[in-house]
Amino acid sequence: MSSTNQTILNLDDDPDFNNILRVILKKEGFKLKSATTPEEFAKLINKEPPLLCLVDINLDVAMGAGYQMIQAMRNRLGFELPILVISRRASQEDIGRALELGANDFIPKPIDDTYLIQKINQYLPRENFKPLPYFKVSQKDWPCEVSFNLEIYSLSEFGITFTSNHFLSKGTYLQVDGEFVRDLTGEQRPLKLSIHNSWIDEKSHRFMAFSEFNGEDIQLLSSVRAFIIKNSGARDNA
Amino acid sequence: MNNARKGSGLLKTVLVIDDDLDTLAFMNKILTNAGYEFLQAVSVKESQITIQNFAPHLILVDYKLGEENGFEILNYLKSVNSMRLIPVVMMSSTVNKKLVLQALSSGALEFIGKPLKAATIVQKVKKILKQHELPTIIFKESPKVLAKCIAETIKINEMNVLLQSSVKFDTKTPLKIDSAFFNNLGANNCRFNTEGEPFVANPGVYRTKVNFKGMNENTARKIRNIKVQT
Repeated sequence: MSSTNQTILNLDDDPDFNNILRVILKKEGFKLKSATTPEEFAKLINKEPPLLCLVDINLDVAMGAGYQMIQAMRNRLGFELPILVISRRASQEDIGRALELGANDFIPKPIDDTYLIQKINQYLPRENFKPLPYFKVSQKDWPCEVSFNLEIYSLSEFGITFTSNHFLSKGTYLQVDGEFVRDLTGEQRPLKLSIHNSWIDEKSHRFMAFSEFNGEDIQLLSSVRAFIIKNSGARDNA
Repeated sequence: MNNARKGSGLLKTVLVIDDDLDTLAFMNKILTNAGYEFLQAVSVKESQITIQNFAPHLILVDYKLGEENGFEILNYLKSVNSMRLIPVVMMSSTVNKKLVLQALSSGALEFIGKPLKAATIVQKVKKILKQHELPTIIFKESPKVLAKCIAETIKINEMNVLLQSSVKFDTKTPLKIDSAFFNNLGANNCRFNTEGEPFVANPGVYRTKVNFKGMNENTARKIRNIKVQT
């Protein structure tokens, strides 16, 4: 973060709110520039690009003007600039819509100072910043399921090799699903696998993980063989 | 543990097509003893179903199948794109040069004369299976899949959750987290983004900081009420 430019730009039609915001941010060393209309906001953003923007998506001028503003900003300025949406309407649909259109995050109104500052720090990390303390989750609430994307590097009769920026430790149990998996197995459900081996590919610097098929699962092995024969041109020229 | 399994780690299936039940019983005994998964069929129709269902590693087919003959199997395999790599051996009690040549030119890999000898069969099967390993497909465009693993949410605040898992997640990557706990908090509606380098808790166990995105006030309040600080 540059030490010269500490400007945060906000769009809100309530001058009182803007004053409160200015005081909160000043304590953290930020300079706030406020706009009360989209036009003014556009002018300010062009004059001096801020570090971060706070945009109220529920302006009185026109319902949803904030949404259009986010979209226009992303189209014109790209995705580097963090845009945090502020709103009193906290419906999950509104939040979702703002994020879809390119907002980075959401902050509810009325503003909670700590929440705001912590959020800003997530997007503008500063040294020596004191993060919020954690609460311990009761152990019975620990188990969860995490979904993420993986890519398939190769397929043999024996198993699948995945490639990813995530490192999958040996022994990790996975369920994989998607169009490819259903094509491969011919079944309308996820494929259960476990990781037998993991390494780093020297060339791509990506993580690789091999998962062996269950040798007892004759149905799966047959489907995989049929898939390989169908999709490999290996012996076409022979 | 049997031999075929020891060799490759994978049970290989051999389909024998013959209308003579004694031959099938004999082949079943020697192939099973040699460690192969034995499949059988007595007619062209039955063979087609078995081939579709099991995509066997190797097919041994008798020339004479009652009214039908083994060439129908060879033609069938050629007509089905997904089965064209399966090696076929033709067997027959009548052996003449014309038939052998016809079999080989129709796509059979080898021809064996009857009566069958156990040692010869096993030797041939072993050899052909070794030569006909299926290729590994390396994808030019890696197919994308959605993976799901189990993990633990061990610490939480309104900004982020500490996720413990056997997956070391890359930084700045979107995830989805589902649990009854998150459901109760309303946090399952949030978006999640990993942040920073995961911390190694134990060998093969990683703690990843995951940021909440788009959390509503209700959820933030519920999290503040958890109260047991670390």
